[in-house]
Amino acid sequence: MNDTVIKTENLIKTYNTSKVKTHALRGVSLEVPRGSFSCIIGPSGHGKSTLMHLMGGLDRPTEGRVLIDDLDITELSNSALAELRAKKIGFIFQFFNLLRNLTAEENIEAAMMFSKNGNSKAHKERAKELLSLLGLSDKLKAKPSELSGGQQQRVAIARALANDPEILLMDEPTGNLDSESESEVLEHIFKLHKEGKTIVIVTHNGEIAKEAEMIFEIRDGKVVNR
Amino acid sequence: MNISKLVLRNITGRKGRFIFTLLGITIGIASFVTLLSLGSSLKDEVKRQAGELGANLVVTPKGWCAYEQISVLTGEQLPEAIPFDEVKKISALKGLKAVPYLTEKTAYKNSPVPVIGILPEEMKVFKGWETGSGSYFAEQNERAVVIGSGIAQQFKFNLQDEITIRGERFPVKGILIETGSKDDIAVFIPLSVAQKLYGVGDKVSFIAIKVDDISKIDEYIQKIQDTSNVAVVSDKQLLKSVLSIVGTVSLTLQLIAVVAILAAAFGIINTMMTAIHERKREIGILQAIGAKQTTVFNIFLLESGLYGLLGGIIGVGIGLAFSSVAAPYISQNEFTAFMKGSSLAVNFDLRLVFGSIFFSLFISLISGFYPAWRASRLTPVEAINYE
Repeated sequence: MNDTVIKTENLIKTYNTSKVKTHALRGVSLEVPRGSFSCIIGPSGHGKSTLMHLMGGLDRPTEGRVLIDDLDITELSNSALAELRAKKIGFIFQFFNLLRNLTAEENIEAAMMFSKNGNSKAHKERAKELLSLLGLSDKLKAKPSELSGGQQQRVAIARALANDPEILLMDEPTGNLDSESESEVLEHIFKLHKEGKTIVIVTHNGEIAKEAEMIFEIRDGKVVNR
Repeated sequence: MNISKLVLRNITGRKGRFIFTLLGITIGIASFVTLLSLGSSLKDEVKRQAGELGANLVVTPKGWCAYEQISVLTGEQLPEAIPFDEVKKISALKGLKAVPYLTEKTAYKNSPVPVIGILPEEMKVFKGWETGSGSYFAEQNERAVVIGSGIAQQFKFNLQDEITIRGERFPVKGILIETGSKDDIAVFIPLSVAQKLYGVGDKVSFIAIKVDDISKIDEYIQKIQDTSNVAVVSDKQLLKSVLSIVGTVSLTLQLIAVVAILAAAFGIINTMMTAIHERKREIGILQAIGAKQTTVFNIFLLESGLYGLLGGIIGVGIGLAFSSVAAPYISQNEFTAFMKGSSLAVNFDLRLVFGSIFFSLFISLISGFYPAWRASRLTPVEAINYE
């Protein structure tokens, strides 16, 4: 298999509102090696999150291609793209984005339900195992509102790992945490990298960037430094 | 975890909205069931009363409309319009038995009570009445009353109690055995006494006729019309014209019910559209973790379907309970008079039960279709970035 797991080719993303055209990305080409730890850095509003969304198939580019394991995901149907997100990519967001009506373990089970791998009993066991790995075995039945920010983000990490994806895409994963929770979460992220996951993090956090093997700096929708 | 559990969690996670939306569809379906079941009971009761009348033909004054014909069945007060001479002429015809009715009204303890002037002997034979307690009229002009079992029960009448009709007191001579018809809630008095009491000369309200040979009914009608200047209507025609009016009432009730359901349907659309707006981010999360557009569509459609199913089941229960409780209290008028005082059996029709639940589900699914489609069309990034 090719050593590059994510490749973008001349990615352009333009948002058309009724009066204004906003150029979020102006031709981004980059390659993310398998098993690497990469950071996307740069000032706010310069296209970092847009790039991550395109890499993860949450959005489609105006021009250009995104290849995951040599598969052009921009050509995929919405349904195939959803399947790819379910099986191959785990997302972690700044605001945790847990489903608020579900408990911690149900949030993880929901992710497994969409990938259609295994039965509900297996899903339950996996959810327990993941939460225990992240130090939350006593919070299985807790709703997000009953958890601290750090705990919620750890549930989100567990959810991202639910289907054992190869790629983890994170958008400011510690941006909304206090320093204690931040170091807990970071510890888990670094551990995941050691276990062989490909990690791409959008961040302003110098701590994280220091650990990165590759850094892509985005300014005005272009990669200016790598 | 499965889709239905997710749907259940979504619905119950917003208890206030869940209860109010559910109430909307429940009330809609409950009124639908109440009105439909009252309407259909009304029809059945008309048919039953027509059967209880025991007549093949009814002679009425010319020019009576269906509304007055209904009163023949309800026992409501009717104008006196047929002279007794006509009764005699018709009675003289061969192959039929004719009994005149003078339907009037009095009040007892501030409640209206039908007073019916009859020819005692003829009517007893015609109806096959039997007295449960006391005795029947001994002569044609006796100054006493015989009362139906329902009236006796309602006002706790004992034999020899007195009832005042137009200022004159009459002893209760006998109480009839229950007939299951309107006769149970009437006070009977010999015709000649009633005519004097109400000052109607020798007139009667209508004449009920039983024929010997039912296959020659048209011939009898012709004969009666040749003999006398009256209108003759067969029990079937009477039933048909009364049912057509009752049908209009039923239809009006159904229309009101449909309006209630439509209001509930828009309630569901509104709830689901608000839900999409509020849950945009949640939709984005579902998509990010791998939910397909069809899955998002199904989740939202199932949610509104669940409102319909639950609202339908609860609504049918409330509707049936309400129609059984409400029926006797419905104010008396030409249409609902059928229900008053009779042990109205509200129709616990299985078709109505399952039909209404299915209808509720159907309406909710239709109402949920557009919101579900809107939810499924959101792009993941548009939804997830929603603040």
